[in-house]
Amino acid sequence: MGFDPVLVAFVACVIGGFGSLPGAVLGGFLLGVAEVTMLIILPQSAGGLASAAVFSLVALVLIWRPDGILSPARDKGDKI
Amino acid sequence: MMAYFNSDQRKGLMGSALLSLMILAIVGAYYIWGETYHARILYATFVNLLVVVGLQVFTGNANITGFSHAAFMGIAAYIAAICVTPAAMKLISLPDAPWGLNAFELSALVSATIALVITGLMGLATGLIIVRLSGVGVTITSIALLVIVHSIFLHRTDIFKGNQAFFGIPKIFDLPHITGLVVLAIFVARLFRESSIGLQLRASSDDEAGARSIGVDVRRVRLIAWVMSACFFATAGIAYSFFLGTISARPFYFNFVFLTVAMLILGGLRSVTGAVLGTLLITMGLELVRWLETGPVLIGVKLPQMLGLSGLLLGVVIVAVMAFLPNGIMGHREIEDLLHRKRQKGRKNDVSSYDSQT
Repeated sequence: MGFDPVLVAFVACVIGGFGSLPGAVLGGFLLGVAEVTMLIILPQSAGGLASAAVFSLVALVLIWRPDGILSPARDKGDKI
Repeated sequence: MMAYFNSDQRKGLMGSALLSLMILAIVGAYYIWGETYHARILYATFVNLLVVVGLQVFTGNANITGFSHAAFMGIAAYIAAICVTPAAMKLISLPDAPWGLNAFELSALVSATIALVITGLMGLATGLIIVRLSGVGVTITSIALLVIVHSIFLHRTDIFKGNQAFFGIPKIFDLPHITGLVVLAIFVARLFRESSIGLQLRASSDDEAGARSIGVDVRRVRLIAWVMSACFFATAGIAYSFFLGTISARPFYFNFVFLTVAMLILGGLRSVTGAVLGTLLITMGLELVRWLETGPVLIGVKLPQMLGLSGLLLGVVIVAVMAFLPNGIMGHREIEDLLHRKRQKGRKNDVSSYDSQT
């Protein structure tokens, strides 16, 4: 109980940019839009794969921007 | 033979031998005093042990938490099960499987090899993505992997039976087999930890920029560790399906993931000894609490029935250990370091300076 919302919130934070408040908002909206879109465009028979499709998108976003969409670009070893 | 190993690995061989003796002592105790139902508990413990030692190879050495181990374990378990189950049985359990999956059967060894190779290749494919990421990105991507694999298990009921049981797998493994696998896993994980690649990996987890600057190819060593740990999980999955006779998608999900990660972190993720101890302690603790839950009679006092105690006590114990020992019970120490504590104290300066930095 209460696990799914926590998981979704965590994922949203990370794809938006961990530690960035606008990133968290953006991540939340993106995840919500992606989930509903998947439910609409996937045919009824593939409805069970909606979360798989959403999480594939999440993985793709993280490959594109490993630190999240809104995180400032910085090199390893930079002092924050 | 010994010439192939460096001095740390030779020390590691002794440590692994001590851990293996501990495992063998537990199995021996079961054969002398145990009851039949203990065999199942012991087998499940050893499957968890394989997974936790495999977790130590990547999560422990690279210090990056991954949550996809249940996915690899499930894939290997299903592949091995589909290959090894007799065709006649599969016509009943998988009546509408595509691609003639229910029309063939293979020997146990071939099935296990196929499962291991396919899971290893999937580890390689996912590893190429994983090593591009760092820290919390790896965690989320591995959760994504877990969710994707689980949804496919649930969706393709014609191949995986979803939440129903896939039944009819012949029972091929028993306690001696898994004991051998566990001992092998402990040796391999320990030798890897002390190898030059393991050392580079641990260096990159302490200070990634520093490790890069002295020429460590961080992506390469992470990829090697990721694929190796995928093979550990595959072995655990194969052992799981070869013993139980039925598998379903449900155990290969978050509950199992969190339990095994808790075992690793409680014992101390930086050392193989920690992984082994954490698994044994949590399993024994859970069994003890389960017995307490039923309201047994203890020294003449009838205890009340307390259902749900296990979750509470497990949480309290983990929080308490983490509060007082943030690096887990073992920290950086391996089992032979405990025996040589006196000698360690003699060299305390260099040991403590290393500990205080990390």
